[in-house]
Amino acid sequence: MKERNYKELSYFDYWTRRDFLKKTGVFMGAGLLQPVLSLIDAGKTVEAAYPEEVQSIEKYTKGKVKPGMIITKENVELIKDIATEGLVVELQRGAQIKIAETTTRPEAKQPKFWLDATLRHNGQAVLDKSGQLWHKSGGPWIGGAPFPEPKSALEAIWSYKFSPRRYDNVRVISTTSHIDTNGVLVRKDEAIFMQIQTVGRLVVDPKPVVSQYKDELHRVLLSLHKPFDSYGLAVLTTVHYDASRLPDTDLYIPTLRRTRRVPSSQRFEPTGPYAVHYTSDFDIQNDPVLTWSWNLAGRKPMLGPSPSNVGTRAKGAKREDFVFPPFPDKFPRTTWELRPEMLLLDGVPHLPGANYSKKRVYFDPIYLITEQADIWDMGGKLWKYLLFIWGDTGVSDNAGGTAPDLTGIVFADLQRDFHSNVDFYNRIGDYTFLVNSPELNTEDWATPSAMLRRARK
Amino acid sequence: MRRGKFLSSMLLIFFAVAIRSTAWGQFNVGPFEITGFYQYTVDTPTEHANPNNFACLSFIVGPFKCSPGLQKRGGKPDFLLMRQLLDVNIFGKFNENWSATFEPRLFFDMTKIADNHFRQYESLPTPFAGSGWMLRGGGNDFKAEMWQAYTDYRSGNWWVRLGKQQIAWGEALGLRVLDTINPLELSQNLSTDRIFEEFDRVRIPQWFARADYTIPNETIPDLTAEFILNPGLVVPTLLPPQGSPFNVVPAFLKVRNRVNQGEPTVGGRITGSLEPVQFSLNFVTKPNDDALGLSQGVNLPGCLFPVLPPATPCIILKGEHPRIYIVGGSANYNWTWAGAVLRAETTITPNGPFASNTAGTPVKIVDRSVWKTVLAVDRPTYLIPGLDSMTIGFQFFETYTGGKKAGLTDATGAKVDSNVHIFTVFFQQPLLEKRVSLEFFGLFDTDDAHWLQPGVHWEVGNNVRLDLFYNKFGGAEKRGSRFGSNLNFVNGPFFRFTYGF
Repeated sequence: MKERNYKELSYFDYWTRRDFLKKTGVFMGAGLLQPVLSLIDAGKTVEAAYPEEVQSIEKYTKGKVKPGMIITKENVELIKDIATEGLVVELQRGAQIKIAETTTRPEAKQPKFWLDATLRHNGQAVLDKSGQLWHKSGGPWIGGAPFPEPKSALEAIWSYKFSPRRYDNVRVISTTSHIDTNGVLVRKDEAIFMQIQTVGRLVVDPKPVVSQYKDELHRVLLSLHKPFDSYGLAVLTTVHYDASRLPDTDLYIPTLRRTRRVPSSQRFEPTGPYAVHYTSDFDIQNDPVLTWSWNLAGRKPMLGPSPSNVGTRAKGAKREDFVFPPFPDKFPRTTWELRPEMLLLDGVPHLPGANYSKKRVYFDPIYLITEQADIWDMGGKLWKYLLFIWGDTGVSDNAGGTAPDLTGIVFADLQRDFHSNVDFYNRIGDYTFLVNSPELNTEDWATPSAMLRRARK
Repeated sequence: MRRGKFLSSMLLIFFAVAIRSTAWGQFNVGPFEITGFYQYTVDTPTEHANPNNFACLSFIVGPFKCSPGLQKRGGKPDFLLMRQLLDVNIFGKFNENWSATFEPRLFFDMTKIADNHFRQYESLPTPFAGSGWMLRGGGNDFKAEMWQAYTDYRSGNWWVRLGKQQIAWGEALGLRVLDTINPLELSQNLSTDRIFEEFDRVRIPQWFARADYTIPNETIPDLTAEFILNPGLVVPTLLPPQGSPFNVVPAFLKVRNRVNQGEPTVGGRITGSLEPVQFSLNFVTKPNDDALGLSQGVNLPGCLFPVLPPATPCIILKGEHPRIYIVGGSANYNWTWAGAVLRAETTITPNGPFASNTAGTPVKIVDRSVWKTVLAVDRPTYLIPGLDSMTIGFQFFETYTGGKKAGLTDATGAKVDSNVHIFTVFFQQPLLEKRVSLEFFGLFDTDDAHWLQPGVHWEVGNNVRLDLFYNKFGGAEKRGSRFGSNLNFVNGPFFRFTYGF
């Protein structure tokens, strides 16, 4: 029998964190295994949960790749086995990334209050026969990631999708640069995005459920400010708790001077002119969980974006800095690191009009989020690469810490070589980045009548 | 001279565009965001001259075609509209409670400069007493106006908007059923612009106090009561001036609009959601927007010698605007199984005004109940493999008029039917990552009238938008209140260049 060797990049075939925990005798009460996060809660670190070899890219690649090294199309082969397919294509076409040491602090990309709730509520989440998430009491989930140590793709995707932004509410300000094959900026949009969680609330009253909206997961408001003919357009999405239902969509259309309910089925086409991204692509996976089927295709160490990519929050950042600098470049420079473990979740859509054959979502079980996805067309050809980068915003999370959140997004159409890159700001005009704010409630922001009274045109 | 003036105007346009071509636009000045657009429109008739400009009447020979009539030269003009428009939206947010919006517009109508078929006419006339409240001024070609100017106050469940504003109600698009709070400005296009933009450019903002209160309750989320009041600054439907390209009033007629200022518009509605249904219940009372023409006698010289119709129309009408009461409601249903949204909208006007005619002369106003209903469905559909879904909208519109109709005419002077049935379809097929939209609007009146508007909308980068559309009216139906061959003088393409900032 062939001896298994982690150098074959199949190290999870013979090693699991469960084995490691067993060997080190780290148990919780009632004989339950502790997840990585509770190790940390017990004063240990991620280092204690993973072998040394997968926490150092230098060791993992036998010294071929080291922190500080710049990866370009000249040396992309060095990281080909630990990068997503989409990232490799981007590098081959001119993207550049810098390698950094592995970050082992979960709070680098997750708010502390969320991690605490994840630990506090561990073991209380159940999935019913259809795969719908519930609290063991029968009610909606009460907050925190429901499955801190996911054993299936469905558990992993629920741990992310229940509240992709983690906050009871969040308001972000973004610009999207659409850049063509030649690297020319062809259009720039500006938008306010808001998400208000109606269940699983942890910080802002009422908690954990807004009783009036208990059948919903969250409401999402997208308000466009640029270009001129989108000014004032608002899109309100009501996401149902029942993950087999498509959301409801209401628009405020300035030229109609009123709100209008529209079908929600246009999920697999550009959100606007020049846009690479579809409605389905927001938050890496925007369709309700049970409208796709999910399969755990593997787990292995892989490259993931470093939390040092803070984008516009990097004061004085220059174009050549590897922090996702806010310049309209086709390939904003970013810093990457070896993540000790990445779950490969293969999703297949079952929605009318879906033109994806598969989406592979890369789930980081330390952060319990996903920051990358590859998408294949119906012919099985790699089509898109999605990169959602998290980092510290430096803004209070109104729960005793600072708020990690998205700091940059790349939507790459690999077949057309076209990009829609998103930058996030702490302030544009009269809007500021906010999380867990008492002023962001459904009635004031996320209803048709709220859209009407806040209309700017 | 005309050509020189025209060319210098065009040079100004391209200079203005060129100096800003590298900027992404939208300015911020203090608390104000300034955005807007410059638009150059060319609308050309390709089929018929406007018969209304040549419709004369003589007591000696009866109705006859007088050429050049109200025009300087007879025949089909070269242009229906050649216009420059600057529309600016200024939004200022002072704090979380207060904000203000101003929308000034500048017009420069070059139609008369470019086309010597026309006499001089006022491009955007306001021929009624009290029109100063429209905040519009300028000459025959150039006009400036404060289209909208209002302030918003929001606090808790309250929202109050005070000022000159548009108020749009209802589910139906492009059909005036509940969306009748504001009158229409039809001077320059009879609302035949790109149908996708509905009435935004022509729904005349009026001075209103609008107050909304969202009623907290567990049963109906978003239950909101709205109250609107215009204290009596009345604006009627504004029609194109006689002699202008879009004129709809025959040359032998003169209508003197009698707008009684001080007549308030009062209304309200309740809106809410009872999933999967959103609904509204509405009420409004207001002076009728359209003038009902009643005979004021004849101008004998004009009827005997109709050689100069502009100065001497044969028949003079006074345009009355009686008060009407409208009750109605609307609802939509999110039919998720079919991926469609169903819509319904209805109103009853118990005292819809009509002119009662004696020997062909409108002599008095009588009331008839009018019931309007729209049923609609919107469904995106993937029709062409490999392309984005096509937005498909279908509407059925019925107007029922009760009571005796013999001898009655409507605001256009047309005979009244018990039932009018109209179907509309709208298709929008995006292409090239939604940069280009192929659009088609069709309106079909079962009495054999139709209006077709195919076109293409092209978004170029952030700032430039190009539109090329074609209006086609036709069918045997010729009555003025219908969309048939009475409007075939509008048939032809129109092109718009828009530069936004």
